[in-house]
Amino acid sequence: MGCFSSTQRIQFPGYENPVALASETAFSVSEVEALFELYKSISGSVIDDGLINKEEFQLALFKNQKKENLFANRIFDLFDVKKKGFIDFGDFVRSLNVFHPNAPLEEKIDYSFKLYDLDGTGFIERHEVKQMLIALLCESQMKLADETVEIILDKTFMEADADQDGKIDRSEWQNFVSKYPSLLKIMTLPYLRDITTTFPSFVFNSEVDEIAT
Amino acid sequence: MDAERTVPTSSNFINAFQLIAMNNDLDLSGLFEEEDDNIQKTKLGSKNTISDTFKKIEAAANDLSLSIQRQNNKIKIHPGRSFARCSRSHSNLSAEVIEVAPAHCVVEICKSAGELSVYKEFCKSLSSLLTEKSSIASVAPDAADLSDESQETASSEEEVNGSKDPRGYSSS
Repeated sequence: MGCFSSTQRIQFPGYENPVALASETAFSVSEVEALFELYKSISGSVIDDGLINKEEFQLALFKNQKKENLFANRIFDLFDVKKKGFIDFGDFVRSLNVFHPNAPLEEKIDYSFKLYDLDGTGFIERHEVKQMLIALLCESQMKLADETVEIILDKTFMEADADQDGKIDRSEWQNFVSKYPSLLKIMTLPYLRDITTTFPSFVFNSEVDEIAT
Repeated sequence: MDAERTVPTSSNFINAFQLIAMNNDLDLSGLFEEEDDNIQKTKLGSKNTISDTFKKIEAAANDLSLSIQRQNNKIKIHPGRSFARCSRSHSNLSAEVIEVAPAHCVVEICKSAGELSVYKEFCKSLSSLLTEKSSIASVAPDAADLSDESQETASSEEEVNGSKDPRGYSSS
């Protein structure tokens, strides 16, 4: 048991003990181990260094359609908690934890706010929302006249920006999301509930007995 | 056109965040899914009202002798009898209409099983119907929409969204 875990530590900088990670997150120990299987395949896809860089992340998300885009960059930046330019296993598990169906709503609201606050000013500003709308239109090859985009923005800010200061702060976001709970659907990945069935190979590598010592 | 900048009382505009949330780039399920050729998705823009958009979907299906079944905002498309090759395999093809603005919709076509050729044919058929200027005189839109239309024709070159994108667009 000890040998196996030190091998993992050598190969994977940032590898963390599944028991520790499980205790901090909504995942069970076996789920963390299943995530490790996923992590290994993603982190080794371009450079086999045990870390996920931006290219590997995009490859995992978009498979063969490797593309640079606003949202993938934003999500990568959020996963890259320590701002080192790569995602280690701890970052990976803790970030995915927010997307777990059982994660607290508060965390999902927080994360989505940070996601949309593109420049990290602590506010979601109109120009940021516009930028994201335009990115969506590019991705979906849908044309909307600039007029229509402006009207959608107007309507959104009328509703969301309670103090009408041109930007949405954290508490305005909270209120807005309570009115439109479907906005948080992107913050939940139902896959995470069945992770041990999706990645069953962990069973052979399990280093931890279910009974914690 | 300044009058158009006032917020319409109509609630038929999606809010920006709902629209943004539709972006597939925000969907992390890609991390967990194997590349599955069975699953295909396309989004098409429709410069029509929601009911006209449904009419066009029906027309596109009819053109290919496909039968349809509507469930709220989603239309399930089944291979008709003339597609004898498809009838033995299970086919799962649908078109969902999302209203973005009073005369703008997004149609999301999704195939999770079945022949790729049917899916592609349907996308092509619908895409060309959606880019045609509607010959059906729609229920008279209000003045805002009418002037919006002519404004769009005049200033199509100046459209902000993606005008710098080299790919260009084929949908209206």
